[in-house]
Amino acid sequence: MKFQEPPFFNKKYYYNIPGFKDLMILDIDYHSGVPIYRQIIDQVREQIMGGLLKEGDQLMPVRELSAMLTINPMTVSKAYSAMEAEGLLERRRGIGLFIVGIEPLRKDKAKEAHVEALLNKAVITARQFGLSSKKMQKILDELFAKYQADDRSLSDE
Amino acid sequence: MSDFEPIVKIRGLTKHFKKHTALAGVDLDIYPGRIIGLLGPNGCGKSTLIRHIIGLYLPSQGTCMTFGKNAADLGQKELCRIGYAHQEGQLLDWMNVEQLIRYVSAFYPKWNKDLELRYTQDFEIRMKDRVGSLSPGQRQKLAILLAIGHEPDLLILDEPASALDPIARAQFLELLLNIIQQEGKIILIASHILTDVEKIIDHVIMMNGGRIIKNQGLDNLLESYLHVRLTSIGKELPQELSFEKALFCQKDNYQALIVFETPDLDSFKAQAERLNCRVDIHALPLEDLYRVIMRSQH
Amino acid sequence: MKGITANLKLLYQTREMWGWYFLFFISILHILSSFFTPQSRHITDLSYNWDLIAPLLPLAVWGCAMGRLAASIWTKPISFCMPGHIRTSRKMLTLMGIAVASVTSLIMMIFPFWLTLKPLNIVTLFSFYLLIYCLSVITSILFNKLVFVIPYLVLFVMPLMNRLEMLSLIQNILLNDTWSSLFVCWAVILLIYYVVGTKYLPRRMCGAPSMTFFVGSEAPGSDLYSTPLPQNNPLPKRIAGAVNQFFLVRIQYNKSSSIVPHIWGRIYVILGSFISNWRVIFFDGPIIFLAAAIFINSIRVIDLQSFLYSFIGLLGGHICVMSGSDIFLPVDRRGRFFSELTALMTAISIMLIITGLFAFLSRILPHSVTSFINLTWSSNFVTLHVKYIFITMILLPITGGLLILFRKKSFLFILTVTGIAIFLLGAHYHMIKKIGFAFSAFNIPSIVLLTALSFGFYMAIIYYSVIKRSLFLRN
Repeated sequence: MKFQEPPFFNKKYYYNIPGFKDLMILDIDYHSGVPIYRQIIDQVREQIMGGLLKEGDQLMPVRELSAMLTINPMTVSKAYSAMEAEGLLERRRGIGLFIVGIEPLRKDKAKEAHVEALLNKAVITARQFGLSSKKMQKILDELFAKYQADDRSLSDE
Repeated sequence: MSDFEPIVKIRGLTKHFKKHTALAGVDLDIYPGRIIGLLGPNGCGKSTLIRHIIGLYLPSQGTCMTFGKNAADLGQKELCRIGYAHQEGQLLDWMNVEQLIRYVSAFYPKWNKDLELRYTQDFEIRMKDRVGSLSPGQRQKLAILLAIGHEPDLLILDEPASALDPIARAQFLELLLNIIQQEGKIILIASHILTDVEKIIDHVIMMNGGRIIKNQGLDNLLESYLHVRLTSIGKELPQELSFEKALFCQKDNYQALIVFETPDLDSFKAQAERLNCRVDIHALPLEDLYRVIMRSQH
Repeated sequence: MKGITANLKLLYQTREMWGWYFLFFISILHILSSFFTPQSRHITDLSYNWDLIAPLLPLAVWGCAMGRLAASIWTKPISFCMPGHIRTSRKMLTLMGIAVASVTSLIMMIFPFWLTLKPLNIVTLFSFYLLIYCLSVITSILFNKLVFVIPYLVLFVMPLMNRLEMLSLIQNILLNDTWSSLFVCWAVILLIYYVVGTKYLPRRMCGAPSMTFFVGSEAPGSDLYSTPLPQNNPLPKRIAGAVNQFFLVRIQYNKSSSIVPHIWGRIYVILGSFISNWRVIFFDGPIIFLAAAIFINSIRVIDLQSFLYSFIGLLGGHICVMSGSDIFLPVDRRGRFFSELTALMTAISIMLIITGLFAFLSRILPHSVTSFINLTWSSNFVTLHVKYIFITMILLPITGGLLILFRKKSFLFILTVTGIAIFLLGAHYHMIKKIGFAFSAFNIPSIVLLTALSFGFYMAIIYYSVIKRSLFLRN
């Protein structure tokens, strides 16, 4: 995780002030070479898939988010427009941008694709190191048992 | 984008200084509502280009139009819409800070007093200090204030943050972001500190040897260069290995590091599969990308 | 030896040293000119002769110059870390001292100036010259902060010298009491040599402000550890406030025009840099002026009026190009043209005021002062006649114009050219008169014509440089 400090001038981002629940935490790596708008899109998508952002949640306005991340508002705008075009967000006039309900099938497909991409690397490395498929399976099962998504806590060993 | 008419139009701009050609046929359009990073090595012509835009230099050949007029004939009204700050600038050393600000602001029709107040407070510039006794960092901050105080439509900053410490640089960037909230303005930053600049710019102009070698949106540029690591899972890699659109390639027996420019990913991945290789694709940070592009110019 | 070669390079590379060389040159000129007008001196009576001591002044100047060189090295903290910096500097100083003392003794050997000298006398003279040199070196190092007084002292001492009977006394002692003088000289020389070799002086000077010769600030960043001479004395707040208000109101009121605010702005900036340096202008300025007048008067090959007025004209031209700042103000080319024109008018006004002041002063100087000035042996004090102001009026625009044209040339170049021009113009006034150029006839029409021509020249230059040429900032 990259250390991301809140902006100098706008102190309200130091604390999650009660009533201001629309704080969006995004972990942007400014110098990675991945365009910032793309990182925003990927992270928002991941948060939706992971349930951190639910249907009907309002996204931070462009100005707020760009001030918090200290980036060009146009970048945020670009990210939001792209997500809107993709069908992840909808704009309610006069109010703001909201997460759209996505049909479960499409969501599941997206989740699978995302995890598959992550596993791709693991499998290739396993292949390189000469691990067998059975070994891989064993590791997967162990890891699965360790983490349970329901209560978001580590299970006792 | 609010307008489609470029604020700055440059065609075939060439500038000779005795034996040295500073600019060699530059064509450029700058559209409103952009924050542009002007990047390039020392002596590539960045400052020369900027000075043409604001009407100081006269071109040897070609034209430079700013706000629809020939840059050299800019009138009072247009000049009030331009702000320019550069690092080697001499200020009037005998004045104190307050006097200098009052003097400069007297020439402009509008001056944002709130911005001035906030700026001097946040940057800890004392009004009663003599300008001649300021440190280089403070001097730079003051020069920037003089350029932005009148809310120009075209703000040009030549190495604005080079003498500032990291905290001051972060503050300066935030301040810049506050300014660009308004539509239709252009900010042009010529800077070497790419790590600062890449957070806020949305457009990149790269220059080398008096020519523009890249003129693209930042995201576009970042996405068109890839850094790939190829690792062989099975046998050794063949000795002769070539890739389409590869700029650099480093290889040993089992691995290869390649930098691509807008590659055809599918055909590359197919090639990698044929070679039974693992492919790790990374994006290239702006600073590395800059070096890659500059080196490939030779 | 490398250290010494590096030091030798400093001799011609530093701007400050050239100022000292100029002073050295002037003092030599002075001595030489005194030898060419011997009638007022008592050469017949050898007991009053002090010819052999005459080189005292150039030697002292040279000693101060070398001392300043060493001081400028020692004030920089980094030199403290360099190995052997004390030894090398001392070697350098010794080398220079021996060189100049030898040359002077050699000259005295070849031209004994109406005296018969024994070989031992040459040795005594050499020791004495070396002593003067060493004393100057140590003085200029020790009195670091007051070094800017030295040029004035030199200029004042020159005419006083032949009034000092002490000088002929010293010469007599040197020639007659050889052994005691040798002893005294070498005792002091060796003492100074020892002191310079210790850490005492560098330690004392480390980090101290390095005073520069030129009355004015050095180029930015050229010497991080030097502070400029006491200048920029702010006026009392109320006066400063009133002046600011006066100009700012006029700039703001006219800000819609593209010309008027820049006219006021230019006047403001020029006056501001003058007034903020008021101590220099009102104290150093007159002192330099007076000293120059005395010196010139004593040289006798130059016509005072034309010299002084050319001097003012050429110096005033520099006002047209000062007040540089790189702030990007909304001034279009027309505005710049009028701003440059205003600079010329302001420069002329300032110079007129200063000249008027001095002409007036020179007229009311009380008799005692003029008789003091009459110490120079052959001339009378000359009062300034204001009618020669036309020389200034003609030269100022030409100088200003040339400076604008050649703005890229180095300061040293401009200074040299200006200095040569002053001397030529001052020296050959008579010749020009004889050749019969138009303006020497002193009739009003020709003066008016020439003035108009030089103004026209300036306007053509600013038109070309402001409208037709690329600009650098400095508005």
